[in-house]
Amino acid sequence: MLKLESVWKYARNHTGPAVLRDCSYHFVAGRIYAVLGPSGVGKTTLLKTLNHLLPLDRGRILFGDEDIALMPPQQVRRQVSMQFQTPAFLADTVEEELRSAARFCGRDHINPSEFLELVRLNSDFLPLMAKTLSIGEQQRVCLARTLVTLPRVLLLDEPTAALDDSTAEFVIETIRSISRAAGLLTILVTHRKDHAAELGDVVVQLDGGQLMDQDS
Amino acid sequence: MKSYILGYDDVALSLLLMAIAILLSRLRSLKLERNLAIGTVRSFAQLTLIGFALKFLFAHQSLLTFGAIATIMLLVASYEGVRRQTVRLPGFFFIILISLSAALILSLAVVVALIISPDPWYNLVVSIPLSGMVLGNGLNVISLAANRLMGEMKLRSAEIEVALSLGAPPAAALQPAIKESLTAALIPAINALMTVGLVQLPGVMTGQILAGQPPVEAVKFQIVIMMMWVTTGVICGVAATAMMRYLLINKRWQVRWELLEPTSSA
Ligand SMILES: Nc1ncnc2c1ncn2[C@@H]1O[C@H](COP(=O)(O)OP(=O)(O)OP(=O)(O)O)[C@@H](O)[C@H]1O
Ligand SMILES: [Mg+2]
Repeated sequence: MLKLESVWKYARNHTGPAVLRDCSYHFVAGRIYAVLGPSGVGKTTLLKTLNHLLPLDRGRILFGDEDIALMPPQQVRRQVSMQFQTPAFLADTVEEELRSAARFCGRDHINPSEFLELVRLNSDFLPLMAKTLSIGEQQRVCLARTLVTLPRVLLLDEPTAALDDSTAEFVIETIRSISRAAGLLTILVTHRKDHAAELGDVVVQLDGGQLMDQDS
Repeated sequence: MKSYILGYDDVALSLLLMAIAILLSRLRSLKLERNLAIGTVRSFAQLTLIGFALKFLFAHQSLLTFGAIATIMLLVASYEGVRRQTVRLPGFFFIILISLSAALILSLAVVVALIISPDPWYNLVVSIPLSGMVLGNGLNVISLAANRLMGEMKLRSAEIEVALSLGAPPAAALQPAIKESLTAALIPAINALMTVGLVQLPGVMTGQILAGQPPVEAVKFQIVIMMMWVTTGVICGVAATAMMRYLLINKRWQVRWELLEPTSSA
C-alpha cells in the first residue's frame, strides 16, 4: 500500500549523513508496523516523508501504485494521516480542534464525540481546553484528530513515549482496536522494544538509512 | 497668516541641539557620538541635495521625469527592503517591488488624481512627496511583517505542520502566523490613527502650518494623508505576506524550512 523505492533523504540542512539512504521498503495494507531506532536516526523524518510533508532528495514513494509526489497534496494528506511526537493544537477547545481538522480536510459535518469515542474519551471532554489536558489525554485527542480525515494509513510518532506504563498499555490497546476495526495500515515509531513487539505485526529497524525487518 | 523663512544661519543653529545630544551620549558613555555625527552630516547633505534636485525637477515637469523618478524610488526602496531582512529569501526583491507598486498606483490614482487633482496630474510638487511617503511607510510595514512572519513560522512550526498534515491548504495553515505578523506590523499605524492630533501634530500638518497655511486647511490635507498612509500600509503588508506564502510553502504544500535558516543565505 505504501512503498518506498530507493529513497534518499538528507536531514533538513543537507549537512551530515543521509537519514534515508537508498531505502526501499513495502508497507502492506492492514498491518501494524513498529519502527524502532535510536534517537536522531531519522524516524520522525521517515514519517514526515510518508506524509509528504518533506520532499525526497531522490527516489519515490508509492501510495497504491501512484507516486505521492504526483497526487494532489490534499489527497495524500487525507489518506495518510499523521500524529506528531509532541501534541500541538490548532484551536482552543477539543471540539473546535476536531472541527478545524474536519474543515481542513474538506469534511463539513462531523460528529466530534464519535471520534472521541474511538480513542475512549467521553463527550465531557468536548468543551475542555486541549492544552490543559494531561499529556496522555492530549495524545488521544491528537489521535482522534488524525482519524477525522478518515485515513487509510495512520502514522504515529512515539504515541506512547510520554506515558506511564498503564496509560501506554491503554493507548496501545486503543490503537490496535482502531487499526484492526478500520483495516488501517499503521506505522508507528517507538523507542520501546516491548511496545514494538506488543503492538507491531512487523517490527522494523531503521538503521544506517535502511529499513529492515527484525526477526521476532 | 505669516510664513516663516529660514536662512542657512538659522539652520546651522539647529546644530546646537545636536551638540546637546552628543554631549549627553558622551557623559553617559553611550558611544552614540560617532553615529550621531555621521547621521547629522548625512541628513544635512542628503536633504540639501534633495532640495536642489526637487527645485530643478519642479522647474522641468514632464510625465517622463515623473516615471523615471518613481521607478528609481521603487527600486531603491525594494533594495533597501531586501537589505533589512535578517534572512535572505530568493525573489523577495520582487515581492517588495510588486507590493509597493500596487500601493503607489492606488494612491496616485485616488489621492493625487482624484482628490488633490493638480495640473498636470503628475505634477511633481504633489506626486513626489506623496510617493515618498507611501513607499517609506509601505517599506516599513513590509519589513516588519516579513521578519515577523518568518519568526512566527519558526515559533509555530508544530502547528503549521499539523495543519498541513491534515490537508490544510497553505493559506489556511499560515493564517495564524500571517495574522500575527500583520497585526504587529500595522499596530503603529493604527495607533497613530487613534491618537493623531491629541499628542502630536503629524509632520505634514506641522509643516503646512509653519509655512503659513490656515490650520483648518492643513487638517484637511492631514486627514487625506492619514487615510492614504494607513491604507497603503495595509495593502503592502497583505500583498507581501500573501506572496511570501508561495515562496515559503511550495506547490506540494511543503514548508521550505531551509529558507527560514539564516545559514541558507548563500
Ligand atoms: N530542522 C532540522 N534541521 C537540521 N537537522 C535536522 C532537523 N530536523 C531533524 N534534523 C536531523 O535529522 C536527523 C533525524 O532527525 P529525526 O527527528 O527524524 O530523528 P528521530 O529518529 O525521530 O529522533 P527521536 O527519536 O529523538 O525523535 C537528526 O540527526 C536531526 O538532527
Ligand atoms: Mg522523532
